[in-house]
Formats: sequence, C-alpha cells, structure tokens
Amino acid sequence: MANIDFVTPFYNKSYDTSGLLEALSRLTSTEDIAINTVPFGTEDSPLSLFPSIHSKRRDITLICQNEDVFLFKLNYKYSEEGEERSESGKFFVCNYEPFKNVNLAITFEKNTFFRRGLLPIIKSLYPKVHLTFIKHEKLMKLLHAFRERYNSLNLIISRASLKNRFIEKESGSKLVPMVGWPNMELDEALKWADQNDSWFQSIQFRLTEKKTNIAEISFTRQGIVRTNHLYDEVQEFFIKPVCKILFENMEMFGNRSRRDTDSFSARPLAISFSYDQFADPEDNRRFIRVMRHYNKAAVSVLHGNPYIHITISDYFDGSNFDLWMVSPKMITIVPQMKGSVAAIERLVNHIFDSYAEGKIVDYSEVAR
Amino acid sequence: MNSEELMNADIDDFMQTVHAMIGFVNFYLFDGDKWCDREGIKVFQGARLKRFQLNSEGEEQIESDHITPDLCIYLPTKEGVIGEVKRNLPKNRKLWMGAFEQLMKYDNDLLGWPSEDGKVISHDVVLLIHQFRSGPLASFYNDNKDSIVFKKPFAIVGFGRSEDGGKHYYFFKKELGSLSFPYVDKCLDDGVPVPMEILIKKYSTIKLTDDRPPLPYLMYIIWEHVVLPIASENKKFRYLRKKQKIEVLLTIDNIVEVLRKGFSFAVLQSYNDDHQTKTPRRAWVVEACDKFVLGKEAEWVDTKTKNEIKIYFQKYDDTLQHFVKLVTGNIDVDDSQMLLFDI
Repeated sequence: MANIDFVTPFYNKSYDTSGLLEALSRLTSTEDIAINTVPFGTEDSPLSLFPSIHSKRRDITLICQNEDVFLFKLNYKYSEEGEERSESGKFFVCNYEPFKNVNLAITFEKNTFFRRGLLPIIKSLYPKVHLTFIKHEKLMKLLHAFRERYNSLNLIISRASLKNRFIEKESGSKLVPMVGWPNMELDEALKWADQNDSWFQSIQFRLTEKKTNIAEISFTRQGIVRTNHLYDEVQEFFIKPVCKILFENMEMFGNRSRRDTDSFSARPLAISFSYDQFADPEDNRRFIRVMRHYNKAAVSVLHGNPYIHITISDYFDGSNFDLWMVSPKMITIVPQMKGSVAAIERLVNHIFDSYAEGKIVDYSEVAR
Repeated sequence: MNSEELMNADIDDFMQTVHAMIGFVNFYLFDGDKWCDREGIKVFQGARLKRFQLNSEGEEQIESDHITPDLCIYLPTKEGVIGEVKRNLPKNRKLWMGAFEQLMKYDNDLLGWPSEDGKVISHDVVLLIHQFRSGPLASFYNDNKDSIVFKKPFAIVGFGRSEDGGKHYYFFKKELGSLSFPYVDKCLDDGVPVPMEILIKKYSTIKLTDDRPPLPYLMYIIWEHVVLPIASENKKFRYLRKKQKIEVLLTIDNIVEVLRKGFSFAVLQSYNDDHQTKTPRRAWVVEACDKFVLGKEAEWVDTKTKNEIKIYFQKYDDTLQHFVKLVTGNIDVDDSQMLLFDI
C-alpha cells in the first residue's frame, strides 16, 4: 500500500497561529513524526530576518505568509565524512500571541535538518534573535506539572545533560558538564541532581503506559522542545510557559540603556539570592573565574576583594555593564549607555548557568 | 609590588576617592525619607570662582584670579559647600601647609555660584581625605592654629571602606570642625557608614572627576565608552577576530563631550556653565590619545593640531589590564600589518 503524503497538503494549507498549532497537534496524533519548536524573542519581523540569509552554504526563501505565520524553505550544505552534502526542508515561524515579540520556529522535518540546518541559523541571528533560559527550579516545576497531568503514566528520564559542581581541593569548585542515560523515574533523577549539586541543561523523557511508549519529549534549558505526540499538552505545559518567561524577561530587561533616558540615568537590575553567595574571599575568586570565562566579551576587574566591581563589554552588540557585589546576597547589574535585552539575557544566563541561580528584580526593589 | 600592581593600586585609589566624593555629596543630595535626590541641589566641579570683598565705600572688588575647588554643592537655601579632596599627602609634613593654604583661599566670599547674583549667603569649607591621613592632618592643623585660620565653617572629614556581615560601606567621620547643615554635621560627628549598594547607580555613572585619572584608566574608559559603541555599529563588529581592527574616527572635543555628559558629575542634577572647566580636561584626553598612537592603536589625522584621531578598535579579553600593561611598558607593541575591515 502506497504511503499517504500528509506533508504536501499540510504545507499547502494557509494557517493563522492558533490554526497552525492545532494542525500540528492533530498531525502528532495521527502520524509518526516529531516536531521541534524553538521559542525566541525578536523585535524584528521574520520577513526581515530569515530571507536575509543568503550565502554559498545556506539559503532561505519565503514560500508563503498568512498574517503572522510564515513558511520558509531552507537549503543548506554540510560536510560529512569528507563529503559535501546538501539538505533542504521547511519550517514555520509564527508570532505567539498574546506575548509581543515572542515567536516560534517550528519544523517537523528530520531531526538532522533541525540540528544541522535550522537551529544553527536561529542561533546565528543572535543578538537580533535571542533564546531564553529556564532556571533549574522552573524546569523542575514544569516537569512536575506535566507529570501531575499524567500521573497514571510513568515518566522516565531517558537522557539528560547536566552541569555538575565538582570541588577540587586546590582550585576550588569547577563546573563539569555531564551527559547521562539514567533511565530513572523523574523524582529519582531530580533527587540525584540535588544530591550531586547538578542542574539540568537538557532532558529527554518518555511517557509510558504498561511498557508502551506514549510520547518521547525533550526539553532544554533554552526552552527548545521536541515531541512526537501530545503536542497540545506540550504547548500547554512547556511552550506556553517558556514563551511567558521570554516575554517577561524582555519586559524586565528592556529599556535599560542609559542612552534611552534624557538624563542618561542608569536603570540597574539585581540578582538576589536566598542565601549568602559572597561570604568569603574564595567565593569572590570563584565568581571572578566564572566571569573571566564569559565568552565573546571583555571582562575587566576593577576591584576583586573584599567587594567586587567588574565591567563587561559584550562583543556581539557592544552593550556595556558594570557588575557589583557589595552585599552577600546580591549581584547588581548596571547597563551603561547600551544594554540590550539580548546582552542582559546572555549575561544573566551565564551567571545562572555557571555560578548560581537567583531571582531577577529591578534594583529599586532591593536598594533600600 | 611590580609596576602593574602599583598602577592597579593607583587606579583603585582613584576610584575610592571618586566613591568618597559621591558619598559625601549624597549627605546633602539624597533624601533618605523619600529615597530620591532632593530637588534644587546643584553639584558641580570645575567651577571658576572669584574672590571678592567690599571696600570701604561698600563697592565690590573682585579679584582677577579664579579658584577651582574640587567640588561645589549649592543648596536651595542659597548656601554652599566647597569640598577639596586629597588622595595623598606629601611624606614631608612641612609641605602639608600647602594644602591648608589652598583651602584658606576658599575661605572668602566667592562669586560664580549658580544663583541669580552669583553669590551665596555663606558656605562651608571641607577637606575630604582618607581616614589613614585625616587624623595626622587634624593634628597638624591643631599644631598650627596660629597660621591656619578659617572665618567660615571648616571641617576635615575622613573616609574609609568598611565591611559588616558581608555588606560593604564607605565610612565617613568628621575629624575636626563643624558644618552648617545640622543633619550632616551631626551624622559626621558620630561617624556614619554609607552602604555601597545604595550608591551603585552613581558609582557606575560617575567615573571621572576633576582630578586627573591614572592614564590607563582614562584610556580604558575612552576605549569602552567612546570607541567601542561606534565600532559596534559596524556590521563586521561581531565577527571581528583578535588582531583584526575597525577604524573609528573621532575628534578630541567629541571624546571630551561624550565622557563629560555620560561619566562625570554632569550626570547629576548639576550646574553647567560655559565658564566651568570641563571634565575630563582636553589635555588629559590628548595625552591618552598620544598613548594610543605610541601603542600603534591609533593615528593622528594631523599631528600638529591633534584635533582628530583614527583609533583602530580591536577586541581585548581585559581592556583595563591591556592598557595597564601598555602604559607600564609590559606589552609588546603590535608592529604587524593591521588587518582592517572595510567599512
């Protein structure tokens, strides 16, 4: 019996955002495909971003547009085992209402297309396009909420990449990336992470019922989701919360540049911690080491002990920051003349990822 | 300490002094009840004030020379405070009299305040100095009271950093004298720790004062806050590799203006008058640019006028330490062919 072509009719139809997401949900319930979804923030229109990609090795063209939904085709070349190969595929970009400037890039092409073609392009558009970061605590909450929804089923972590804080006698603590195939129940995996001072970078899990796989889902700290079933539920429990975080971060991090104000006044942010992070000089040294590893930036330490004052210049877009640690439970970030949303997000993500996670607040809330 | 360590210590000393000035100014400027700056208070540097007095016929006689105190605070009550900040004192105590002679010049009626008639009803004279030196200086004053006489309220205020429970402060205490503003006088009598975290916005925005900054520090400020923003507008900026450069054309006046408006006391509600000396001084910026040229990081457009400069921006891992090494002679100047991106 000949295979039914569901792909061509799918691409030939015209969708608005909600129509597209519903159609994708139906697709995963009837076909054996996996959908990759990348939430990202941008103030630019997809029309100005994606078709601008034209080079010898990759090329994007617009196929069609309906309201805020765009369908693009990507052709790209890559090298494998010394041979030049080419691949092409299609992807949708749509605005995710009601979150202004939050978009989704979605494809159900092969995973190789996503990994080699689409995702690198989205990342290359940084800082115009920026992904978000999900704190470990939040990631766990999202997983637990999803688990609650399917509490009659088993949720097994099949693969996870983590960062582990490893303590060395001489040089203090080090962050060590790990990839594991734990095949553990969710609670067991979370307990292991807590006990080993680790946090998840990405997590792949399957929902099973009596040894039958219902769905295989993966979710990263940047909010990238892949699933082969239950797209509706994945939207509700993962995609929508990630889009909300993206939006809230853009609101929090936006309009912080000093040049945006008449009097060039500063609008600092603070990261507050629930316990002392800078209790002794070793903590200071560790933090300075972490910041020295901040890539694509100039990092100058003006004062390292007992308080910390560091300046950062972002080499993606020229944003500039002063960082201060003058109390044990807080880092203050002062954007200078230029402090873009993307640069602030990248800086905060680096601190969360490599040092410690805290709560981001406007400086005025903690300055008293 | 080696030359780089000494330079870094000098930069740190300079910044401590800037923080201390900000802290002192805030005793007058900041309303702790409303948690905001008070309206109508003007803080400024580089003021050119002239001494005047009334002659026997009641006519004003204005001296031709002007004085330029480090810091002036003008209060809406038409009173003022003149502050002189000392980073260091000569080792030879006999030379300390020079500091008081300078202060005594401020102990006169002065013209040039931001009031309608350019005058104030009265003003205080304050010497702000690190607490390690404020005690000995106060002793010197007491030992020389015959020679050091102030008609106006005069005080020596010492400052230093302190820490308590992991929180960091600048501590201010009056070593001697009295000030007219009762709240400030009382605070400084007992000594008061000012938490650094409440002044972080000002520490971050006021990076330059009327005191000459260490040369590498000024170079780093110019690089990060004048050159880099322009370089980052170039579409090749994010792809720039080490040793690759982007040409940035600037005038000295432009550099001075960007730094003055964005990184000096001008960012506070302030008094800006054409007669004021601008911070940073043009001569300091020219010196910094001369050093960029010597370090093969720039070229004068016209070596005679030194008005315009082409700076070759490149990315450094640590901009401040790069210029510390350049100034202390601990860096190899790159003579290799520059790789310029087409602009």
